Amino acid sequence: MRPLLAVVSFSVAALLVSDAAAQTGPANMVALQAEVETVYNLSDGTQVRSSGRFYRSRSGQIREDSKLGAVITDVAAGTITMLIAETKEARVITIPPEQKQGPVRSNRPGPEVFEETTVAGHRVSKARGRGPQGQNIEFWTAKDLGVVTWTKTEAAGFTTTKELRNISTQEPSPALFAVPADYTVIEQEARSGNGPQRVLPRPRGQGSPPAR
Amino acid sequence: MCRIRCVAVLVTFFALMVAPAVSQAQYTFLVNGSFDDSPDWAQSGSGEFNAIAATYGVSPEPWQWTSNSWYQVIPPYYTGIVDGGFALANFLNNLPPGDVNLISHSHGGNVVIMSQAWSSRPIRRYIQLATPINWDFGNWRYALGYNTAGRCQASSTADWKQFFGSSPYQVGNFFYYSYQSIAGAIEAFEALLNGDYDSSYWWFAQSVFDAIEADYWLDTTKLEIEGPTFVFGGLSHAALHEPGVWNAIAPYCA
Repeated sequence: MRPLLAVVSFSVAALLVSDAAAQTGPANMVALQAEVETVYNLSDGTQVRSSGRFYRSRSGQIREDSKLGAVITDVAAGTITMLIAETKEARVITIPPEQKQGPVRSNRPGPEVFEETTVAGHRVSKARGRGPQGQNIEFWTAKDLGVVTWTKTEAAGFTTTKELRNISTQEPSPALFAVPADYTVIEQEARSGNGPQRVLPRPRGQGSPPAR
Repeated sequence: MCRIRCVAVLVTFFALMVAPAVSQAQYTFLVNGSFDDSPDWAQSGSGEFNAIAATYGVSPEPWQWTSNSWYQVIPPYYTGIVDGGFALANFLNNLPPGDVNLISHSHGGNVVIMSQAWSSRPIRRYIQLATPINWDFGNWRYALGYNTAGRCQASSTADWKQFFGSSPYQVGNFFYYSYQSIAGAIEAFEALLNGDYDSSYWWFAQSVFDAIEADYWLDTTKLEIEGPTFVFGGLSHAALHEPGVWNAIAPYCA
């Protein structure tokens, strides 16, 4: 019975929100535009940089993009859209309306806050954690914006730093959360598989051997 | 004139003979699974880390995707896996030239698969440890084949986390046919006790068929059709990223 309950609960989708939205809630969302830069420092000294932009609308739509494309999450519409620049494809994953539920707040325990300060005019909480194998993580959350503005993860000589810069609270253009006109839209329901159609349950007692 | 030309050819020949071979850089990245950004198995000093380093002759690096809380990896959104795939694609796209090996655990494997929606960077080896074979990721599962020289999957018959990480479509069909098989067996025994041997035979046959169907759906969560799958018996989800498993598959996968 327990596995069946697990399957049922597993199959009932929850609206997914970012950790930032989980802190502020959709009703208090602050619009954001910012540059995003991720820097990876490998143990041999190699540095890899990846840059793009981050957008969040007051209604909770989120977009992060780079020269490869973008990922657009629209909680209200129940979609996640992958824009692929090379092929000009837009893959849209949609959750059926009957499976929508309310926002889910993250109750995952995080590292302890060690400092409250002001960075670039925003109140920032700095938190830090350490793992048993020496891995470190530190992140700064701008409480007034409801977004993590800086993270650093160090493990085995590999360091990842992600930063939001030049943050603006101007509402992004709605066009940023729409599929460009020259893109081919491929709708994909995440539930679908490639196997045979599911057979309807067969009530007990029905079905009998063929007559001789 | 010929003497000068001949000397030049000889000098060039010997220069090429003694010049150091230009070695291709090799990168090996360990991609974490769900619920833990920096798992111990991917850290320097762990048994798995050391075993992988011994195989490749160079220390691997733990590449992390952090959007991996439970609500970010459950169907049907899988937003964390999509975001992680996008981040990995951007990382691979900006990585200097060289061979790339990607070794992933659990949903980290699906992050790698998702990254192929954007990345066309050739991958030398892609090794999945306990990755749920999730049909919800559709065509992207096969896109990896175009860029990967070699691919391997390690699964365990006792790994229920891998099973529940697959599509609800696969999981649901397993439980449906399991239920039908048990219900059919009950019908068969009731018919047998009532002396209805024809019906009993029919229900037994149906029960066996349903059990085979259920086993098929269970296998779909564990067997990767795009590359060889090594199936271990009785190992837990975490045990698949231990040195014993790595050393067993490395001769064929690494």
